[in-house]
Amino acid sequence: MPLTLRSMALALAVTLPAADAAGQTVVRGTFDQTRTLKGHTSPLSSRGTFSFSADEGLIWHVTSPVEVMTIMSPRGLAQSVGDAAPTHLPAGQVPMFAMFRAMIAAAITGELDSLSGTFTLERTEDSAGAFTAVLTPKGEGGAGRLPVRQLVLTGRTLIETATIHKTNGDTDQIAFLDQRRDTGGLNDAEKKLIALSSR
Amino acid sequence: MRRGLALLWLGVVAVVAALQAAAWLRDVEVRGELLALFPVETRDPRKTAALNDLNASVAGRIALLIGNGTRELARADAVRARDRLLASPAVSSATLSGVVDADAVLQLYRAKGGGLLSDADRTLLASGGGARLVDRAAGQILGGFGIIDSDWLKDDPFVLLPSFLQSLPRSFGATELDDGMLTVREDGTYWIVLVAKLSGDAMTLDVQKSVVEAVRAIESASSAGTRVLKSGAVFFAEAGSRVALQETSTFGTISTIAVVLLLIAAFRSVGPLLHNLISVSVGILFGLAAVVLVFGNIHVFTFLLGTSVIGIAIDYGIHYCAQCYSAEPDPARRLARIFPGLLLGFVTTIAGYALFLLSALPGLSQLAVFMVVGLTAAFVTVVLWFPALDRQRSRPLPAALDAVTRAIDRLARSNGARWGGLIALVLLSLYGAAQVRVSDDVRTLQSLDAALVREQRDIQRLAGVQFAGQMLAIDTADDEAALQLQEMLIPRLDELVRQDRLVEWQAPARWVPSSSRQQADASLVDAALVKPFWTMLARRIGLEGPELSPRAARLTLEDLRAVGLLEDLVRGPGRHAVLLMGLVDPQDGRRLAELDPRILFVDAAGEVSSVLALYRERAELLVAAAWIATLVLLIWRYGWRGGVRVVLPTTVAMAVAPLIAAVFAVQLNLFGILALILVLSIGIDYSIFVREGPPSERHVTMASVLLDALTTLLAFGLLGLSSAEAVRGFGLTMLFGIAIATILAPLAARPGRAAR
Repeated sequence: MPLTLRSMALALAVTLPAADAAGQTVVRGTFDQTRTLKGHTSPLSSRGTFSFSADEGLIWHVTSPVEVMTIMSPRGLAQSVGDAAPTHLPAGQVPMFAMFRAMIAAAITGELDSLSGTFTLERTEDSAGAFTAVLTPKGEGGAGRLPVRQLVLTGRTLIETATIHKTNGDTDQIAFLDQRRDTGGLNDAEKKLIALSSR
Repeated sequence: MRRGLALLWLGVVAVVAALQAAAWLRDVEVRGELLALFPVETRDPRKTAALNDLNASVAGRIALLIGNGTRELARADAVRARDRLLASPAVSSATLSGVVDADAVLQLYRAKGGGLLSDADRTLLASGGGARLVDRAAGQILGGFGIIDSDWLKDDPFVLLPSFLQSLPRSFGATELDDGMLTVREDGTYWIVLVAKLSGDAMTLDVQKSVVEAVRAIESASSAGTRVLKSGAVFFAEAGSRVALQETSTFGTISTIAVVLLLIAAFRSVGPLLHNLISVSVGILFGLAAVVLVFGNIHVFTFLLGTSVIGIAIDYGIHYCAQCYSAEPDPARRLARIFPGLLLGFVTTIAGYALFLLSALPGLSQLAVFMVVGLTAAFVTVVLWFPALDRQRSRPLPAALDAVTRAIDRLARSNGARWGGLIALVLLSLYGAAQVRVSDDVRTLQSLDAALVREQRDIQRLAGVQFAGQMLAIDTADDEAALQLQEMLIPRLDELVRQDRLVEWQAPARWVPSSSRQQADASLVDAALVKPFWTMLARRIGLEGPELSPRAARLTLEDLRAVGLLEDLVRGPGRHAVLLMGLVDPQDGRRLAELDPRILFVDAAGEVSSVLALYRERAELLVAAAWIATLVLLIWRYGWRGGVRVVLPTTVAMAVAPLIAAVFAVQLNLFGILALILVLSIGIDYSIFVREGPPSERHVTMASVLLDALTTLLAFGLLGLSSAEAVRGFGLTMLFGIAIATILAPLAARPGRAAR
């Protein structure tokens, strides 16, 4: 499913908190996600935790209202729901995986300018250091083929909120909370989870 | 009288030559297809069509991988390579982005995938496991970074489609579409996949030349550090043709020069050389004419093997020419002295080949007609023309030839040498007997280009590109029946994959289930998922609003064909192909075909192997029959003891040659048996010449036998150096068989009469 994976890659790349490029740095935090779906009166809300390492990958753990663990690493993807056995998707079977990883790296470093090839970027910053970035997919090719109308990012040193406006009228909003950096790398439990993606 | 007959024969030859020229100008059908060699009654038109289909989808494709450590350089080289291929007249299409538009396919599945279920989901639902699919859907809606949006939920509320899509086969498994180009990265190198379709037959030299030239141009025009890997039957065929042409040219040149020098040195004149050239040419002319007249066409198989008539026909001429070393100065009397031996040698050979007419195999029947008529014409030419053309004065044997012939004669008649030779032959044969392997597998007959094999493996490892070696051809009334039949096969094919007996398979039903299955799956989803679990899913994720149910639209075969998918898999209404990649044991394919008469197992290499096996088995019987016919004729002529004595040298040669060849790792196959037929035809002539030759001039007879043997060994024995296993086996069997028949030929002489 190239289209959906591409949207996932881009959405993730531009919504992840900015972090140091240093490999050992891990950013941990919680998130609240609100999805407003066209035709449905109440939004879908979920929350959970995340851990991100430039070298190892991402652990995205939805804890409520259902438990969903999604792992992404250079070796592939894995997802498990509740106690069910995880499903795997090796990197070689994921279209656009190299692009996906490159975009994650951009998000890690916070260098959104590296996305200027596929998005039009408007960035404003106030005197207190809070910034707002508005990204609009360019043209017909690349990001222009995504079902995304606009991405709006806000933050200070880290990205604090991301709002994705879809072309079909849906809106996804993610708030990153309690973010903290740790230079000690992933802990053992996190490393085990990351290992799931390379099975 | 003799002069009149010679002139009459000249007239006949001229007429036949003119008629043949006219016939070939009108375009005689030269058949090359393998199935034409099968007996007519066993030919299956379905199999012919299916083999053509397999050939088109396998031999008609090539894949290149263009790799460079710099992504931009790899991509630029890949674009140039695609453009260069497209400029070749032998290439009809070339693409860097895969054969289909993946986004278009996805949109199609989303729009019409209401009846699509993966096998795992179907099994789960059928066993009451709907609740687990609710959990999975909740996870994908809430945990999938917003992929599943309101549009997706509207059509596929339980998010079943991704599971089906993941079960689809992947033609280029390890690649990803990187900005329009199928790319795989390994050890810092970016490899771009370029696939192309040929416009012509990969087995023709023109197409091979054009494609290989294009690839060479691509290699030379690429950036520094760029590597180009290639895969496709056309490259192997070109390498095989190139080696064969090189070998033919090398061996042919060596053998021609050697035979010319040998005959000129032996006769100190070009006359005998030219006379033999005439008799052999007349033999081939008449052989061709007879086959075209009787069959209306000629098969390449007949053409190639029929020219071995040279090896036999030249013996008659040389045997006559060698009479210049006898005391007889008169050409007519020279002929008269050897005529009984020539005639008997000719009759035994003709009788042997005539038996081939009973084989009921088109290839062997054509060969029989070619050899019988060709040898007859060569024989008549020698008998009617050679005395008239003979200008050779009687003279003694050249010293070297005389010394060698006497040495052989002494060797064969010495008790010590006989026992020593016998023990050596027995020991060698026993050792060879332990090494003998009978194999008709065509794959063991080809020596594939090692560099190409490595490149093909690299492409397979890097990009997952693998061409099918076999297929199941489905032939039903309509597409629906064909898809249903494939659905019956799918679990069995999956089981073979699980058991590592099959690497991968592709079939239309994997992309689009039959209408009946889509209907059944949609009903199953409705009854086992939507009705009992919609409320549960909505509550789990907090969704409010109307109950959602999967889209009603159903996917059809035509939908997928419209986006360029299934091109290789659907050949017409109801005619589908299930391509099998990496099938370990062809027997598994045959078992699947036995499940339904509408399924046909097609194995290109297997078909060639089965033709080879059929011909080998028949040829073995015919060799035995020809040997018996020869023995009967010899007994009629020489009595029991004499007949056995004359047949013995050739019989030993025929028995021992394949065993010695086995010592050199030659497997016994059709080509070895065909070599044995020639050993019988040629070797028996040597024994007869010795038996019939005047005892007082045994050295003359042995000289002619030696010259016969040397010309034969130069023509065929050199093939033992070939890199092609089939040709090497043929050459080595001829080499050992003719050598032994020559050395033992003196044993055929009447007992008690020694050489001069």
